[in-house]
Amino acid sequence: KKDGHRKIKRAVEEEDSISSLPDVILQHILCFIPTKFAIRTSLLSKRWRHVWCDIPRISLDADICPGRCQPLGRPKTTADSINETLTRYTAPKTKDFYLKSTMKKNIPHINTWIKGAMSRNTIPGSFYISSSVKQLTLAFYFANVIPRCSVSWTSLKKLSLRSCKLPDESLAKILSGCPILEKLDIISLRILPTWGS
Amino acid sequence: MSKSEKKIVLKSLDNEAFEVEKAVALQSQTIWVMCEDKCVGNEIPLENVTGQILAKVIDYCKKHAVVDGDGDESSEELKNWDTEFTKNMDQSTLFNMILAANYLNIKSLLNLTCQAVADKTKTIDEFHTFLNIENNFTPEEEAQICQENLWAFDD
Repeated sequence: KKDGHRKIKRAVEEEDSISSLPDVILQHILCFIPTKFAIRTSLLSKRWRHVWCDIPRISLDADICPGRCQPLGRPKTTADSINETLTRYTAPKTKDFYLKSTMKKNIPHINTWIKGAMSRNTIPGSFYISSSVKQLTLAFYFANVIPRCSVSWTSLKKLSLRSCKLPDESLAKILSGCPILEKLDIISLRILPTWGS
Repeated sequence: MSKSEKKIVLKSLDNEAFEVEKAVALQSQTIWVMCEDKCVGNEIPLENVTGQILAKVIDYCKKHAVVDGDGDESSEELKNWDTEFTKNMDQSTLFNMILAANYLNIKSLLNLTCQAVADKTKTIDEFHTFLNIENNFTPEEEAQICQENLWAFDD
């Protein structure tokens, strides 16, 4: 049953002009609001059901606690829910990706999320290998940053490292993998001694 | 360059003609490409933009052509001008400005106008009311959509 405000809408009979804008413009508008709210537009009407799926800018906050809107069956964790969202995210090109995750239990998912958001635009396989990332900010809250493979960020121009713990080696590895780096920002970096020394 | 070469005439969908400095018009990538290709003369027909909207687009381009390249003080002033520019635009003008900015390929104007719509529609209810979108889902469908992206529907 339609509720009150929907009836009023119909009575006013104004033209819903925003829904007639092309998808790419709607997606551009959605870039200016937090991803969470952009996804909520899927609830506006059938026209809007899948518009968010191709937004070029996505931010995920894995620290949100799952709350009120719980399913009837097995309770979903935020991680499960983000995984589900990413299976629906189909943007051919992600221009901007932000991920916040500070909880230990989310660590196993982080690689999958990065791949899920970026894979259409980067070489799949490793976060540390990408020919398309131009700007990167890493804030690790003093966790160790240890690239296990070699680093290759061939398009990276701006790198910002915040609150990271880095073995000496790692920093060298990272910097040698950024051939065109123009700007390096370091805030609260702890350099650890090289392995074995 | 002679004086006449510096000017360009933009003609709207409803045949209104606007004579503007070339530097003003060239903020539009679409017009820039047209001029580069030399496929147009001094008069450029813009088939997708009405005179009323084109006048506003030109206001914007004039403002930005004058100030670009100046110091930091003016960038603050420009920002305020931008805010005022979209502040009292009604919804239909705003959408037409978005379409015009998209067609003319003026990135900063497209960002400004899209931002203005986004600012007015922070919540789903605001979306429904400001944008006048009629919900055509059943409650069951709504519940299903919530389920698909649970984390995004948590407050």
